[in-house]
Formats: sequence, structure tokens, C-alpha cells
Amino acid sequence: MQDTFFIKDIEGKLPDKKIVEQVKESHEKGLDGSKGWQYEWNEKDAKKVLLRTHTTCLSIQTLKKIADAKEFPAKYFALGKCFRNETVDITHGFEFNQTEGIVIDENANFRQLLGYLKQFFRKMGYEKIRIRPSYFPYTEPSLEIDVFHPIFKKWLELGGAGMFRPEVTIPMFGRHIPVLAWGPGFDRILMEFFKITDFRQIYKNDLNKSREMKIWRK
Amino acid sequence: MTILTLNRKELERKLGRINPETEEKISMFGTPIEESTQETLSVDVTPNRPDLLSLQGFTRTMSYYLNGEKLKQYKVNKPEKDFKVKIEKQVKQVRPFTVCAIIKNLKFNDEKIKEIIDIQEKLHMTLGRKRKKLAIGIYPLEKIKLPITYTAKKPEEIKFIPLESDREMNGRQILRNTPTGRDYAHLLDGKELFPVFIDGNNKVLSMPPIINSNETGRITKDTKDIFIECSGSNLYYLNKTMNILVSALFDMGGEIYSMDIEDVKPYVSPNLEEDKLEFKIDDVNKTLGLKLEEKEVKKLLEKMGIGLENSKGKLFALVPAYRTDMLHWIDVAEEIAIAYGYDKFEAEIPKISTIAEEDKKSINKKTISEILIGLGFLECSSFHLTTKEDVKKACFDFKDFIEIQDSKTEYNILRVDILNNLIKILSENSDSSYPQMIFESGTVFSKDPKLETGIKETNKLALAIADERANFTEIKRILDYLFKMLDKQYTLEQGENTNYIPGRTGKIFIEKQINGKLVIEELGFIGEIHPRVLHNFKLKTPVASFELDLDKLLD
Repeated sequence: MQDTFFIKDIEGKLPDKKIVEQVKESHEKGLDGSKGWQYEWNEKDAKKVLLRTHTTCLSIQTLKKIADAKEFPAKYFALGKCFRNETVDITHGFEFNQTEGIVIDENANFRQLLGYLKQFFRKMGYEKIRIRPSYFPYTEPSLEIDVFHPIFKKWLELGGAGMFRPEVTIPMFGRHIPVLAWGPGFDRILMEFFKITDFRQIYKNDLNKSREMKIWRK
Repeated sequence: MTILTLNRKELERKLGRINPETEEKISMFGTPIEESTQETLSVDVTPNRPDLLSLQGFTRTMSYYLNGEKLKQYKVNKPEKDFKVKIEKQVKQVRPFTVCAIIKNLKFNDEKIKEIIDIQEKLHMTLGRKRKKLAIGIYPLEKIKLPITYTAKKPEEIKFIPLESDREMNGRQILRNTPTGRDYAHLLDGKELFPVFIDGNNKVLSMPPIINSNETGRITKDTKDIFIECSGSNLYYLNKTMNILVSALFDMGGEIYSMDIEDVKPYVSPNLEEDKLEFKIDDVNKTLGLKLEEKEVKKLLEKMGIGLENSKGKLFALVPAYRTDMLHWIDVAEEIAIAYGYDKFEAEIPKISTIAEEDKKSINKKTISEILIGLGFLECSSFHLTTKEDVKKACFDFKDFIEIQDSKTEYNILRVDILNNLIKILSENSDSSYPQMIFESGTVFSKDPKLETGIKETNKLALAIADERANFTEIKRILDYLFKMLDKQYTLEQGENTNYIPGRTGKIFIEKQINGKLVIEELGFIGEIHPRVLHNFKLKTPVASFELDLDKLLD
């Protein structure tokens, strides 16, 4: 949470009690046979207002709507801004773009997640990707997508993905429905396409450069 | 993420030669190689696997995964006489729990002492959350007398020579006068009593989570047997931490002895019995899209250091006591997937048909962009964060800022409009040729206590022309064209806004039918930017502009 932007002096509201209770329980004691994370879930922390660090919150909000309407199988995607309290340099900034995809289906499985990811990155121009195990608290299995950088001759992280844990899906659906989810950053893909080498350039709005910009075709 | 740097020679001594192919396998375990040199190998360890954060933990796991070695049994010997720790009532309010162990027959050298301190520090930083949740103390058994008492005392009454010091201090002096004391003093803020471990001779061993005693809490090359404690407020994590530590010490050749902990409810620690996690092969197969049999599952789990027990048809994963990340059968499924190899899975796209539809708001946004680009405007994209100074250059009396806590840059408020950013962009591009015609559509923020987050997010479009001839008539022509293309009508009224020159500013309204009633809504302002604003942004050309509420325009 060190790189989270918290808003000063504003306290948010929590959704209806039933969900709050379930989330609290799933964190503290677990549900569906899970042990949970065995710590004290803090309501005050949950009320803190912050700038999102991932677009995953969009997926969770969407899941809730889908669960309430019972309308699945369904597939959604989004592109959105994310924020991290960091200084700005050649590779980082405090704002960046993330793309988010979810597939909700009783029969969704890990092989399909790999299928979607391979297609997605092929369409973004990456033929050589590596999918390796990783960790996110809210997905299991979790993975990270690396692309091979031909100049640095090493693997670079492009983003994470996984299947939402039962602790996440059960408070929404009442039972575990497999949800495939991915959320790679988008700025590195943009930078490579436009041959931008300095992250700061993306937000610089240099009109001379904008006038020379080629159109996005991938 | 924690980077674990390992001595390559030590690693190869236990695992065999590590060539690039092995390195790739290690990455595919979920511990990607950060750096590989002749002397060292650095891997990235995710926070769910603190048990890997030592040479012992890592080689143990890799010996199963890479070399298929047999699962180790971690033997814990019963407590000997006086292997006791008494927890006194006073400490229950301050730092209520401790788990302890004794390890015998360790052969220490400088390298090993460094290794143990390193594990201890890594556990403090990760599971211990910088000692907030828990802290570990290690003591040479030859210097202390059992049994031990864990209690709490007034800081003035706690007196001992802290590590790396040469004089006796009391609890408060330690917090003020030692480097570790200063670093962690905040953890004892406001406590009347400080926790303390005391031995059978009534000598202080340590004052957790701060520091050990120099006399009774310093490991040397002559040390063979040690007493370890881990104290904190969450017994579950204390046990896990202790299990990770003693397992690593066992791998170093130590013998583990448990201790009787005399608490309100007495218990024996450590307990390295495996955790039984029930799962069904069908669930695993369905999650992963595989068709594995029990025999294969057993093999795969063993590669991950996990045993399998079939008890009357029910399957249990036997999870080693040092694992912190196995909560649910879904975690067993991931272990199986890693052992199977993420690269071995056959990717597939399922044949579910869903009808795709783009979000209406983003279609609208794109349509507007296309119209404006057609008119020769450049689309900009600026930060959602800005500075009070910049906003005040135009909106002099604005006060309702939404501020951000401890921003690491000068950008410390959420933007209140988009126009401000556009004017800033113009001021940063004074070397570019004119006319400059730019726009941006995006979110702006205002306070609204009624909403879930207390903040209202509104989509707005702002547009600006910087040119010698930029004026109200020209910008109004753009507005006319935009509304014509969108098949909408607006009305203008004279308005006032600190951004614009009085008399050359208009308020834009739209008429709408809502539930059969005619409603007039304000969309924004149009006008020529005030010379004072231009001056504040060091702009030398006139600027004409408008900003619209897109949510109201296009709902």
C-alpha cells in the first residue's frame, strides 16, 4: 500500500451490510472451506478513498452487476487509468494505463485463460511471450506475462492475470463461478509501437510530436 | 516482491549444476531470475512464499521441483526439563503471544550467523511487516538459564545492555539512544508497559520487538544450541514464522526441540505437523482444463513439496507447516498447475458466443474525437493530478480542492477542470507553430458527500485555439459545428467565469425532455481566455476555448 494515493479528509461509504460481512468473513476466517487470511479485516481501512492502483476494481464492480442480473457467460474488457504514488522517470510515472478483461463462465478454465492471453498479445504484436506462475492475492492460479526484449535480450514483465479466488467470487455469486481475469499495463505496448523511449513523453503533449504521430494500427 | 540473492556455489553443491535451462525452469516455478552471475543467483520471490527466503528454504523447494527428491520429514523432539516459557498476564495487553523453540547442535561460523540474521531480517520485513506484526529473537542457550518468562514491565524498570552497546540503559533510553530503538520506537508508542523476555536467573534477554541483550542475546561462533522466540499479536502468523525459521535451521543440521508454553491455555511449540487440505481431483481438473489421475496428481504435488493422502476415498494435500499460502483447494490446483508446467498447457479459446457491444460512453467520446480531428484539432492526454498553483492561475478563488496524501511529486490534487491542463499544454508548446488547436476529453473531480467515494467524477470535453486571431466568433463556430454533427441544440447566455474575459463569455445550456418534461441544463462555458490567465501561464497569443459536460450532453 506504500504506492497508493490516498485522498485526504474524505471517507467513503461501504456497500450493503451483507456483502461487507461476507468480505470480512472471507478475509478473516475464509469461506467454502478456505482458511482465509487470518487477520483482522479493518472497516476503517476499507472506507479509505484512494485512486485505483489497478483496474481490477472495475472487474469486481462488473462481476457484482453480472451476478445480480445472473447474466453469464459474459465477457468484458476495459481500458483505464491507474495511479501509483511514485516519482516520474524514464520508465515510471504516477499515472498509467491498464487494460482489463474478464470472462465469466461455469466452464471457464486455466487453459482458456492461456488461450485468450496468447491471442491478445499476438494481436498486440507479441509472438514470443512467456507465461509463468506469479502471485496476486485475489487470483489463483496466478500468472505473469513476459515478453522477450530483443535488444536487452531478457524477459520483461507485461502484466498479470489469473482466475479469481473463491473468496472473491462467492460473496458475489453465492458459489464459486470461474472467472478468468487479466490486466496488463498498456503503456509499454504503446511506447513500443510509437517508438517512445521515455515514459514522460506519453503525457508531455508535445504538439510538434503530436502533429507527426502515425495512426495506431495493430 | 523480495529479491533473494543466493551463493551460486552453495546452491550448486545441493542442486547440481545450474545451466540456462535450469534457470528457465526456476523462472517457471514462479521465482523469475533477476540476475545470474558466476558467484550469485538472484530470484524474485512473491509475498506468498516467505518460506523460500533463505538458502535452505529455496534449495529444499528446488530439490523437490528440479530433482524430484523425496519429501523430508521434519522431526521435532519433545521438550526436555525446563524447556518452558511462562507468559504472564501483564504482557497480554501489550504483545499477547509468543511461540518458542530450542535448536541443538548447530555448527556456527561467520557465514552461518550472517545467514540466520538474514533470514530473521527477511521474515521481519515480510511476514512481520517491518516488525509490526511480529519479531523474532535468537539467543545462545549456553548464556541463558531456562525456564523463560515472557512478561511486561514499566520501561524504567527494564534495564540491560542492548546489542552493540557498552552501557546499561532502561527501556526508554533504548528507544532514544540506539539506532534500532529509534527505528522501531513507534511500535511501542503510548504503551505503559514494554514486553520483555527474562530468563531463569532473572536476566533480561530482550525487549521485543526492539532489541536483544548484548550479554544473553548474541550468537557467536562458539554457540551450538539456541533458544528462539517469536512474539506478536497474531498466533497464526507467529506459528508460521517459527515453522519457516526452524525448518531452515533443521536443514542446516540442527535438531528441533519443542517447548511448553504456559499461557491461559497451554500449548507446545513448534508444531511441524503437516496441514491436511481436502480437495477433489474433479475440481482441480475442471479448473485447469486437464484430465489428471490420482497417480499423476501425487507426483505433481510431490514436485511442489506436498504429500498426498487418500483416506477412504477422500484426498488430502499434506501441506508442510512452513507454507503460508495454502488456504483452499484452489491453492492445491495452482500447485498442480505449476508442477505440470504453465508452458506445457495447451491453450484453447472456448466456443462461447457472446454478442459484443461497445460501451456507449466510449462510442460518444470517440465520435467527438473524430469530429474534432476532422476540424484539424489535436487530441491531448494530460494528468488527472495537478497542482493548486496551476488551478489558481485561472480560478483564483477556488478552494474546494480534493487533496492527495503525501504525494511524491508536486502533483497533489485532483483536477477540477480540463481547460486548465489545456492552457498549460499551450504554455509548454510556445515554440510550436500557430494556430494551435487542441482538445481533451476526460474525467474531472468534485466533492459530493452523497456518493460512495465522496467524489463525483464527471466526463468533460475542453477545447482551445491559440492564435493571433482566436476569438469568440471562431470558437463559437466550432461549437455550432459540433452540435450540428451531434444533432443537438444549445442556447447561450452571457456568463461570468474567472477563466474568461467578461463580456466575451457565454454559458452553454441544453434543453432536454426528461420524463416528458422540458429541462434546461447547464453544460459549461465558452469564451476568450482572460489576459490575466494568459499572463499567469506566460502565453503571448490570444486563446479562445470552451468546456462542456459530456455526461449531460450525451446521456
